[in-house]
Amino acid sequence: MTSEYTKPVPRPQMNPEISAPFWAGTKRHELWLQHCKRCSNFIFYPREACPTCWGHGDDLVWAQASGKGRIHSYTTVFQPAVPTFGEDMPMAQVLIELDEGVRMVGNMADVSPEEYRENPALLKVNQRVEAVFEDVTPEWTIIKWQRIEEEPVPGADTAASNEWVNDPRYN
Amino acid sequence: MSFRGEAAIIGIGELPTRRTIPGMSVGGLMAQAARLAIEDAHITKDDVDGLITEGGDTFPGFASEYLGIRPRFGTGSSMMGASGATGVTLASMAVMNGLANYVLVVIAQERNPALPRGIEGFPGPGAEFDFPYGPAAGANTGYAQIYARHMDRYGTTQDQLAHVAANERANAQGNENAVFNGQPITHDDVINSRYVNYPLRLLECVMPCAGAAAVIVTTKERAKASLTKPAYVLGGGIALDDFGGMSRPDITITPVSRSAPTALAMSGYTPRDIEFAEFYD
Repeated sequence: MTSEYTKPVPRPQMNPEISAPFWAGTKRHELWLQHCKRCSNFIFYPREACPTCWGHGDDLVWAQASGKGRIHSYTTVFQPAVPTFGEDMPMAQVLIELDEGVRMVGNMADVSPEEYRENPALLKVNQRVEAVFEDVTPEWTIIKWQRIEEEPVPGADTAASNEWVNDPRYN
Repeated sequence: MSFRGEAAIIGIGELPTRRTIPGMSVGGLMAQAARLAIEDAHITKDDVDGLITEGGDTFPGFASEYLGIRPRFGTGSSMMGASGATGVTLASMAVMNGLANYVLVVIAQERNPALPRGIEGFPGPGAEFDFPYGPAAGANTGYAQIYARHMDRYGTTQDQLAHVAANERANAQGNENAVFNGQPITHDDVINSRYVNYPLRLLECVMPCAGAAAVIVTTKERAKASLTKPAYVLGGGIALDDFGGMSRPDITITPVSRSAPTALAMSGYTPRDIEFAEFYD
């Protein structure tokens, strides 16, 4: 690790108290998610009310997650919006769907800029991934992702059937 | 219950869209478009008793103050790129229900100087959970992710989607208000432009612009009596899910999959009947 980390670190600004267990987990190199006891769904990003059932308060607990998921989609970014990412270009911004059903934005830890430059399409939708942890500063550990050799779980893609897409009048 | 045919657009005002419009603030752009719209509608400023703006830096209280009007109905549509269509839908509901007689829907955006790219001060969870991973060039990141998944799910090709940008640019050559009027491109130009966000290439990317547009929406009775040729509103729909694709079951299926059927059902038409479509998110 270089002495000075110049990329953005997490800036909790919605409710730092609510998200603190998440960041305490990453410091231990563990992925913890909020879990709603009322409806048994996982929640990300951390918040004060369950987006599924509006459970709140004692309904919401923390649970360690599998750390595994799949790439819901991705883009290989060639032009950084924040200059300090320039040295890493190109890089992928991935949308990860965890096995617990929630999504996170992230980067890949196991692909180099050279590999992306050679093949911007080297990532695949539904590629299985697992979390790795990067201690970017003494205060902050962020999650990145690496590919794992696993077949996608059959039927686990949450892409819902959609009335409009399936309605013959619209096709 | 429906507002099919109950409301009509009787005037429009549109300023040329440009990368920047030096010397014009967002208030001035809004006022110019509003003036063109009331003139086109053959009404006066004093007739305007409803106001819908995009929100943000043209929130309704600021807009009514700047425009010197005191409407009895007003709201912000605050739906980003969908604010215009949302505004017309809300205006139709308002006039049909007697909340106003003439609603000015006005959307304006300034870009003087060009805003710096960056993340400082951006509200919401992004600063905590997204920005450490390198927010790319604005909206293009999200669109590129939708595009990549669309290719995977439906077999859509980059060659096919390059036609979208090429066709839009061809249409711009016939519209003096278009930002790229006078700058034609070909399908090959699109395919040969560099990647900004794979699979999105430079000539497929959205970009910030300055401009303004306004319409006047009124009741069918007033539309019939007006001096203009009214465009009756046959249907509208507004749908939401999320901002960043985090909770949408599949990011390729956006809320328009629910707002469009609402609007079409109201109109009594199906997509096969539609001869002109303009899509925006």
